[in-house]
Amino acid sequence: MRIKSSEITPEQVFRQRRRMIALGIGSLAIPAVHYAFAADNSAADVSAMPQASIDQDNQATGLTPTKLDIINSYNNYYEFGFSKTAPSEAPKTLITSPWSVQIGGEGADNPGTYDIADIHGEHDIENHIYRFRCVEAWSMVIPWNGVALAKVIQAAKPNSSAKYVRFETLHDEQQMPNANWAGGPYIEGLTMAEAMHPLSLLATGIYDQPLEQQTGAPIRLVVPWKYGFKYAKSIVRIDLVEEMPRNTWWRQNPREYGFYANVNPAFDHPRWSQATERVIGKFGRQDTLLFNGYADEVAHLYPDLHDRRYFF
Amino acid sequence: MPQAALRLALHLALLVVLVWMVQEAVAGADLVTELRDASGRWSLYLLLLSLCFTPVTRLRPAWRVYIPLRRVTGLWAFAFACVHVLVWISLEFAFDWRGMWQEIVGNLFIWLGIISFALLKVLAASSNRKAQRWRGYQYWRFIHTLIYPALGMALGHYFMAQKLPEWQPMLLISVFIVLLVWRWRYAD
Repeated sequence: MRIKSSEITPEQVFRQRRRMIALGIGSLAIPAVHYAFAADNSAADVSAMPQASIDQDNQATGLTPTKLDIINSYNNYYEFGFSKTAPSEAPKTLITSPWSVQIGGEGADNPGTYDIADIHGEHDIENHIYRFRCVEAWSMVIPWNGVALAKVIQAAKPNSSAKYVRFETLHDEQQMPNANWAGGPYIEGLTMAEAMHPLSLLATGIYDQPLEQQTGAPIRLVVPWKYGFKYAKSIVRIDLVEEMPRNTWWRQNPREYGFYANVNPAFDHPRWSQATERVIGKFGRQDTLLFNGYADEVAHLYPDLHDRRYFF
Repeated sequence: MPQAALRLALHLALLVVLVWMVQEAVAGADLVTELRDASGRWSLYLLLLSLCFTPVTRLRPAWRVYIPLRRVTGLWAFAFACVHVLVWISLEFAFDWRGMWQEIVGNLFIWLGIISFALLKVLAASSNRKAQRWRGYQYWRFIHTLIYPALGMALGHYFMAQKLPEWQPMLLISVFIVLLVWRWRYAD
């Protein structure tokens, strides 16, 4: 990251702002809102004491973030192996710097190629503590750092044929020992409305630390009301397209996985119940919430909540 | 080595496996699934191993001396299955019976596991001389062929628990098929 030292917010000022933000949110008592914006760019986050900022976000959301070492050692990233531990135990072969993301597709009037520093430089880094719910019925709470996906899309000037957004993960046999498990790059997709939603992020960090190889470095999608497989990792292409992208899991196992994959405790997976979830790092289970607890924010995106399509 | 010493050695070796398994799970990010899955897998390994005794002694009659280890193997397979089930009930569901029922209902792969475990219980409970004498050896032998449906269902349970067809369950299933074919072709 190329940031002039004059741009770095002094820690004192940063923390003061943090406090004001936390107070502001607390006093407005907005239910289930998790936006604690750091108004400045990422340098502030890196220089500040991570724990202090997390604690304050925590007060605003009521969620207790999962420990970083757990987040970094329990992962699904099939390109690095099928088990939960394989991705963190794999040799660090992913070259994350330099890294560029191509943004284009027929729906983009202003396509372009950006590197991570460009994305950081142009858009504010936001910090959000979100629930994370895997389709395998386990969950964590993750304090993400990233930019709003909407801002990145807006910069590509979407036109009328931008109906969906297609995400593509790096596909490189040199850098990923199991790159070919799905016979090609990992593909994910969102509708335009989902992608433009303020909850949707392109994350570049967790706990104010850059993403690790196993968590999808250097940039990944975050859509907290959907199951975790939607969160495409190590993204190299974002296309605004007219046709619904056929995402990898839908293609791999269409009986069990579809396009929308919104969290819903009332719609079971063909092989297990989605009513409850195991919280990683704790014993026992907790109830799963409709849209993973973000129903107030996203339910309006789906006209018919009884339509099974949206939850599968 | 006398048979008692052989049995003791196997007991100790499998106890070490259990301790190692718990240790690995505690050190890992997710104790619950790691212990649940590792104990389930070891139960399958040992059940398959217990089926190998007869064909192996057919090929090498001198190895008949190891036959008493079959019972130890089978009992430990049941012990690992117990760990598997208990982890699920206590650590994963914290005795939330309603939650467990929700999970079980309409879930073929869990039913396969439950039926298999019930059969294994019968086999473990009847793994002594008294049970062999109860209704005669022939009856006991018939009861113990239940190992085949029990293991078949347990393997189905393992296979179906995966998101994608993976090599490990496939390998175990292939071994089982080989053993089944052998039994059907060559056993008395």
